[in-house]
Amino acid sequence: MSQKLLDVENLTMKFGGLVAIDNLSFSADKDKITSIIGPNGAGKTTVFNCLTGFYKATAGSMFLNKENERLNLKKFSDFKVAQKAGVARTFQNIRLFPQMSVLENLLVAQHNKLMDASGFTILGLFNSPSFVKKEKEAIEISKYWLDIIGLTHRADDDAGDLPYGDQRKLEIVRAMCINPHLLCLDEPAAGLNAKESAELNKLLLFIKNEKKTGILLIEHDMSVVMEISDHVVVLNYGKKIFQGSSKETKNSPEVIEAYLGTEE
Amino acid sequence: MDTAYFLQQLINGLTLGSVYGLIAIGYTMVYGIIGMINFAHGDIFMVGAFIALISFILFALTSIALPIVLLLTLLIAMVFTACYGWTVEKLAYKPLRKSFRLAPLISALGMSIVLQNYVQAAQGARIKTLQPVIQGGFTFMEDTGFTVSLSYLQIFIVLVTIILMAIFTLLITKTALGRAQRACEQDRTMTALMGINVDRTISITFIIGSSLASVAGMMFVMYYGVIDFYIGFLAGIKAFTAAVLGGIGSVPGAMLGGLLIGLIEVFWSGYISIEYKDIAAFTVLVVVLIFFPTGFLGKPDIEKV
Repeated sequence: MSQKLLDVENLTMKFGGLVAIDNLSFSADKDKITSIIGPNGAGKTTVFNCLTGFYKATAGSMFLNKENERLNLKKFSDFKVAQKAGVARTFQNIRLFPQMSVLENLLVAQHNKLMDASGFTILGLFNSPSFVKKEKEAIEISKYWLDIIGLTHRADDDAGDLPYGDQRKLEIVRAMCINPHLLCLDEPAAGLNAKESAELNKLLLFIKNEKKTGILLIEHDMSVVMEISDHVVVLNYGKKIFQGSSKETKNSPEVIEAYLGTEE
Repeated sequence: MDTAYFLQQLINGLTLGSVYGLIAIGYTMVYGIIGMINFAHGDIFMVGAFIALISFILFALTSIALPIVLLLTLLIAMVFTACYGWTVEKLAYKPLRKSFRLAPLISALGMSIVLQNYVQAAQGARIKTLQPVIQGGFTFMEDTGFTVSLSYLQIFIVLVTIILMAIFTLLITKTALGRAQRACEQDRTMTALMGINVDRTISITFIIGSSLASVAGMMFVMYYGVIDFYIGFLAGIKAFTAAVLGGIGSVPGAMLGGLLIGLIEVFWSGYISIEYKDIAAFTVLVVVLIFFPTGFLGKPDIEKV
């Protein structure tokens, strides 16, 4: 059995008397797509907010296993989530930097290595060779990703001017430019048409297979979930009600009940 | 005579405008990145002027050559004033970052009073004077009855301003730091999720703004030769007007606005009334706020979805 990338154990998140997540345990694999599904208000986004340090979990633990270290995600917040732990995330609504070019959006994600190479900007101002080299590399990486999503020809346009579907894809590859171990995607298919959804599936499978990055996916679009998930975790009222492969999930009576209600 | 008089006003206006432009950049950068008007920025400029004055007086006791004195004073003023700017941000604004919008504004007004009183207590309330550091200049059009003079000092002020503005424009458009600053302007949460230390980026913005204001302070004390603890208020408000006129949040706008306010003020004094020169700048502020709230180069607010 392959080493788990993410171990979430007994995670609980309470807001006053409201229990948003109740004793949730699940894990995600390194080269697998793990989907979290559930009706609205089931606590899916809250899980992401705990993982990325937006909320401090009331109880439980979250561990990220890299090659030779085990990181307690509870200890990371703010920029350290991406910089030190290597967890990237996207939001339900698109949050690109709309007034920066497509290329610059991808370069922002590679800020830390560029900042180091620019010797706190001073060397960068004078175009030192080491900085120029690093910047070239960063642009190469950006081009590589733009090529994959077919946006190379729009590299210099403002990100806000792209069509909706392209913005979604750009947001995902921007997260990939951080070089994350775990990629958390919050409803990436929301608002996409069938063709765009299919392209999204292809991109996510590419990231999983070629980049060996673990993907944690919150999604309502079942065509996406069922087609690409290796593992599905179903939440309802903050509790895990089912987990299994996508096929098992589709036929599970508990899941059907949570989504459709029971026949009286 | 008319042309000569006009030319003289133009030269004086550009010089004054350079000083305002340098201060205005600090307002506009801070507004851009955290959406707050840093009302203590004028007083940071005043602190910069005092540090430059003290440094000039100390160097006058030595026999170091003038160009080196100028360079050293510039560096000393920038470094020390940057420390003040950084401290103000850490003490007065950072703890309020997640508070409601007006809180840091009130805190800024408080910091402004603190800085004024601190300098008043430490340096005394009386005006301080500086002997001219750079003397001489060119004169033109003597035969027209009005001699136009362009002093070396004015050339120095405009040149230093142009060089600094070029450097900072490069910094913002080309370097990783500038990119991070622009990212923070648009979405701070997302910038942090890119692994960028947002707090540090904001601190650096204050450091840059303060060091530019200190250069303006140094120019001011060299140009007028007289300063006191209260100069920051009026200069600050005028530079703020410049930032609004150019479009707050836009760095080229701040430079343009600074030049325009300098020219308006000087031409108003030259042709209309010198007593009411401050009225000119504030009239501009009111008119701009009513008719062009986004300024000349400002971007209209984009609805965030």
